[in-house]
Amino acid sequence: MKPSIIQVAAGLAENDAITNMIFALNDRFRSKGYKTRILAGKFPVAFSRIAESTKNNTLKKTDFLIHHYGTGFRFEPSYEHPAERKRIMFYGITPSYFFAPYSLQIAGELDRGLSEIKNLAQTFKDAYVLSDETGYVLKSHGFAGYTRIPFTDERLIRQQRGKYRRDRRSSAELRLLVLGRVSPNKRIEDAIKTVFFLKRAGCDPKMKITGVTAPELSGYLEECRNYVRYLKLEENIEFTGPLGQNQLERLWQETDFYLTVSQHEGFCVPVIEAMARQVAVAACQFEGSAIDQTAGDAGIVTYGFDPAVMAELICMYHPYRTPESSQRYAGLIKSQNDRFNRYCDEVSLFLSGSFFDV
Amino acid sequence: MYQTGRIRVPGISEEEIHSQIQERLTARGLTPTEVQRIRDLDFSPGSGGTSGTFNPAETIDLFESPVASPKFKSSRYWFFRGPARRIAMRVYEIAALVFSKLSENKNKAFHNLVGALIAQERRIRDLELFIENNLPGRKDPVQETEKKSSISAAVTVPEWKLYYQKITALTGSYATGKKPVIVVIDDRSGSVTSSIQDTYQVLLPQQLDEETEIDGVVVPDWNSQEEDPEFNLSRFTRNLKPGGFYIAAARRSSLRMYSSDAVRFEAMHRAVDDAMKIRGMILDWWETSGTEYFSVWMKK
Repeated sequence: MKPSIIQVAAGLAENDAITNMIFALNDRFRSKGYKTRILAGKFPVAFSRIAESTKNNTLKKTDFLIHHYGTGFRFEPSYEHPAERKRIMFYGITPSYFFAPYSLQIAGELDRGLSEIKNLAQTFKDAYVLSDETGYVLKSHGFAGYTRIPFTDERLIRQQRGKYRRDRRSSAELRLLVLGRVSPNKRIEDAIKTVFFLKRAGCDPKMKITGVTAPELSGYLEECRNYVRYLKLEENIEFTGPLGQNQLERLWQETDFYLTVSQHEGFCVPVIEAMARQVAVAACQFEGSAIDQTAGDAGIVTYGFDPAVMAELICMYHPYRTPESSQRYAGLIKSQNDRFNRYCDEVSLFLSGSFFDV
Repeated sequence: MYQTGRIRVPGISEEEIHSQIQERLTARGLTPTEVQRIRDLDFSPGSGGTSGTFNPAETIDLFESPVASPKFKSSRYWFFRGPARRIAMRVYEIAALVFSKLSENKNKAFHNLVGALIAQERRIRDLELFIENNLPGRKDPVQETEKKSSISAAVTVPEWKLYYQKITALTGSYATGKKPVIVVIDDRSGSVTSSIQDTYQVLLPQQLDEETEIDGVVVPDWNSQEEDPEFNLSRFTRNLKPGGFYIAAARRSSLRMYSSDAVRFEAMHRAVDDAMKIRGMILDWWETSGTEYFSVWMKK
């Protein structure tokens, strides 16, 4: 008899990468005839049909557990479950120093989350990660090894692979998108500085900063707005806050560049999302960040960050400025398509692999 | 001119992309100072970081997280069996929840204490840094120049005066044997003027005509200038000799109260570049022991 697959996570949220991964795994296990359950510490009411609370839920010895590790979350039955009947999925922990000036609570949680890995290493043997960068963190905290798997969101692949066509417009303005949580490790201020230099270069940039801000980090959001005011970029930059799926899809449609200057990323799903939607990627690689691995050989990647340089690079690949830059942009998109197709192959291989035979 | 290391773009070699970027940046007329000013622009509130054994983040986390409820499995709790054990655990959890709710004010007070500790720690760090940089035996180029110029720079001298001396020593005005000419703008209390008039020839703004060359402009309080600060900057910097300096102090206390003041304060930099077209060298920008900011520019 096949065991039940229980996936446990700190929380679920809409448009959240880990949540999408959990759902993708859930669908795949179901299609293979397993019974599945999803337990989460917190989740929106919309997910109450799919997910159950971790409170008052225990595990049977026959269950197979997949523990999606998040900070500040401890599910006791996970620790006691037999090692051969459980796996841990680790997505990386942002260093606390990014958050310490804004929220000591968040910084403390992150520190605790990192030190907890040592305890997890005592009880979990099979560890899975999305990038080698996060794998190194596990190894440095006592795990013997890890297996790298691709980020899996079948819906994204089904919707986009080979079908996506972007509308080209005649307007010469350059539209950029910064997507994700508005938090200090994302270095939103550096994206704002890039827009300053783009404006100086006469590119007519319009950047939208989309994503949720934790209440504890409202000071950081205000700080970002101060950069915009100080650099007189009110007409060039808009903070949209979190958007629904349809609005987000419309935003992708009209975006020319997805810009990320984040200093810490465990995988950076929006890079793949941008590639799927034929939006050029401009990104920075820092020590301990997985951008380079996610982008592969596609997109524009600088090692370290300088706003003037990033702005010049984006200018060189402006889709509408000069025939030469348009041609470069088309080349960039082609290389991204190749990378996205390779990524799809990786996911297909993973979905048909032994991960789903437990 | 720029800081980025390797750049990877498909279809172009790295050397080619670097040379293209360099060419394009030069063609834009961007000076390294301008690029650096934007790159280093920083409105962050400063680190609440760690030093020594005190980790504020960990302390707050420990204070707020209740300990896990006991499992009541040991022999000490022999009387909790079956459903009684589960009820006991539930009662324990509810009690922890109620206690944490009732302690919200205490938590806030504790946060205030930790915040004060962080501020003190930063202040001590600043002071240590200041003292270290100004130890009599320390051989830094500025102090060496001061010695040659027979200026006795001591920690007891008010900080702003010390920095004026440093900067004047750098300009080399003493080598000529003349007293450097300095314009002091809106020194309401008169303390700045009186403390430096032995060493410098101090002029009031109204004593200045278009012909007079000056070595420095001093603004003791940026926030309370009578005239528009940008007007003052452009007016007096015209009289500055090449190598002359501009130095301003602003109260930091206002920055803490309103974030918009931080923006206004940062406008000092912009004013220098935009209004005065000084295109000079920003020599230093620092905070002292928690009350003031100083900024110094030297005219090319």
